[in-house]
Amino acid sequence: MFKRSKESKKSKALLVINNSRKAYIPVYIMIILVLSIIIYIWNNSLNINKYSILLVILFFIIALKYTEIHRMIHRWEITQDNFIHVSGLINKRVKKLDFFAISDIEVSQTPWQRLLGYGNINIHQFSEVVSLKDINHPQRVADLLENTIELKREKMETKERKDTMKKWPK
Amino acid sequence: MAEIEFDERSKKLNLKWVLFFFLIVIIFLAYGAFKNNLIFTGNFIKEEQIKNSIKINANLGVSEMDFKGNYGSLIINNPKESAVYIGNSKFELENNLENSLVIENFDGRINFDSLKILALDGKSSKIIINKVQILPDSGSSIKIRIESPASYSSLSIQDNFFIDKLDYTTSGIIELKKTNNILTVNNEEIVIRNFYGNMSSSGGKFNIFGEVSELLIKGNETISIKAE
Repeated sequence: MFKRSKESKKSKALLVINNSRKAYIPVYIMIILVLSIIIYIWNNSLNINKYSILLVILFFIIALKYTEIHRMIHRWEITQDNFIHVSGLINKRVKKLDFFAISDIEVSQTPWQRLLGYGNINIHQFSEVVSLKDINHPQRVADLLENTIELKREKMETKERKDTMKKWPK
Repeated sequence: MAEIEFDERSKKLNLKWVLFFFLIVIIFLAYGAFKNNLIFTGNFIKEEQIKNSIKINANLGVSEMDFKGNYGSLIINNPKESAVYIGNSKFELENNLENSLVIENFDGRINFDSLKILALDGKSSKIIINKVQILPDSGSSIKIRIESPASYSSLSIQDNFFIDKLDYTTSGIIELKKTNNILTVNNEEIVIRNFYGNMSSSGGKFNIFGEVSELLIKGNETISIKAE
């Protein structure tokens, strides 16, 4: 177990995945609408009271947290040995999923997600399901993940076969 | 089957909350912009207003008024208990002097009640303070603002004074030239739309003299007068 984690530490990321910005389109539209209203109010010399200004600032902070900061905080990596979720900006949390624990990979897309080319991946792991939401090209990512798992399994099987052959009395 | 979501967004801050907050922001912005009765702005329908209007001369009570726009001249008599910043210079409004302040081509905001000018902030092409004329050093305008609320004896805005909507409860007399009527308002809500003319405030009385497109008095009976 220790050996494997040491190996995985060395292994480079085959693919680094971030949330798709397409998933934030509704929030971007809201930001554009709020900005347009402010420009309209400004151009027509209408009044903006201080509570509205505070609310607008708060809304922009929430929107930023929901979109760009969220995107910066979460990252997934597919390496040769495992699947890693890295979260956090200052405090980092790394969670690894062993390839051998993955039993099934499922891709799901709503009509809107299909139209824009992003979706969710559900990774079945024994009795748990790990969900990756709003990923660009989910089918391609799932294929890469499956191929990498297959490759890793083949390698392990070959290694085990070799080990057995060595142990076999001549 | 247990489900783990690496994406914790759905638990803490989901789109529904962002949308809810967005709607609140929109409601506040719209309310502030369109429903604030004592904020009057814009000159965009002035020409239409002159063609299609009723002459009015009204002496009403002063509520807290807040006007924003571009006006011909703003004259304040006897402003006291504050200081005026004109450009980078500060002018004290001495209590023992008969101060006068004339702001020509004033573009900005004035907020006042019957006793005090609560806020004055904008720019002007020429300012005359206690008969001393101040012109912009460079450019076409000079900034002006008051430091703190200043008392005054009278103030008036002459030429180019426009209100798109004035809605408040007051008492006073409204004289209309179209119908040759004199209407007495006694603690009733009045709505004046598209006023263009002059205004003055002195001794707790608010006078407007000019033209309006619509007048509405909401008392025991509702009186509505519209320009044809």
